[in-house]
Amino acid sequence: MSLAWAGTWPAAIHLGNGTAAIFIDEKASPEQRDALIQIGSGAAGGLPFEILATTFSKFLEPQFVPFTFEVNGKNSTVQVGDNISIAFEPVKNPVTGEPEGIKVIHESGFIFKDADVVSAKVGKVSFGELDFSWPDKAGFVCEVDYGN
Amino acid sequence: MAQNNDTTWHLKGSILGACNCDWGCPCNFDAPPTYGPCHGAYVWQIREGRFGDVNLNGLCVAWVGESPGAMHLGQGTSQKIVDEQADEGQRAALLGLLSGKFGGPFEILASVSETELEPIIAPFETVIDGLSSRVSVPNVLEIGLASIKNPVTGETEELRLVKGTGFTSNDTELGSTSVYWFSGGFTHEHSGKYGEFAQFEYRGQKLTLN
Repeated sequence: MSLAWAGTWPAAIHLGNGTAAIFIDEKASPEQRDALIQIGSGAAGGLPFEILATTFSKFLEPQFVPFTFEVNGKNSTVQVGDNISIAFEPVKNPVTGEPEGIKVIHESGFIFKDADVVSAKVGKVSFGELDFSWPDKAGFVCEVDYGN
Repeated sequence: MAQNNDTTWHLKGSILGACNCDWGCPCNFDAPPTYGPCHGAYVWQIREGRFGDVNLNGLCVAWVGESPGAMHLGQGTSQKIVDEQADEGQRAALLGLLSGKFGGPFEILASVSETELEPIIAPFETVIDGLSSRVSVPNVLEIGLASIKNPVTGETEELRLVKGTGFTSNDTELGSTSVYWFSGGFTHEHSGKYGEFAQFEYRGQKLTLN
């Protein structure tokens, strides 16, 4: 199963007033859809969703769409329905052009503790009022382990 | 003392950095400085150091620089500060290293310095303690590091950057500053912005990984 979040905030995330949408794998059965909505909306508790949920004033209707993941480290891509496109590549040294190895370790982080920092050559969301594209900005790849 | 390009040297110790960017400093990720220009300083406290047969244990050096955009785009101005405790031979060794002609991170820093101001020879006062470290070169440079606090809970953040391809350090504690100012051939006042702390080890022409 897969789950995606897209959101926009007028300023720093913790200042709130965001608008978010949640996308659920269309392969999910009715029970699985309900479980993923409860987890992803923060209703079931647990990080990071419980914290993220507090930063939104508007939550759009959940969407059920196909996910196409190509998990390949710093070159991973994902397509979520027609709504989210993400494609990563390594950050390159601007002088030598060589790929950089950059990892952030954030022990006190609530989304990840340990992530590879990459460049998102594609970072695009298109769903109603969530309509933005930020190519060549920040991207993160990490393994996560969440629970309530 | 012979200073040729194959002089063997080795430095090991603590490095403090401070700049005018927001926490995290985009240049860690090859992105442009937060506010356009780059204003920053590095201070190295050499715990164990050797340049040829010159012992450099316990000495400090600093590099302060500024450029109109990202550092690698050039047009930079820089000024070095060398510990006044260094004797004549040690001073020559440190200035030689800082000139960049013996390699290491100093070579890269020198390559982005279009204008190099006359070095300052002055005393350093240091307290080395991770993101609570402080360096004072009285009337010239003050850096006090600080931890980043979570803006909601007020708790201290634990943030590290592991960058095998970094040239000044490879495993760096990311923080802020309680104070950062420089008053030399140019002036900086960027207290509260980015700060960092790391252990470093450089050798010969090559930066070794921690």
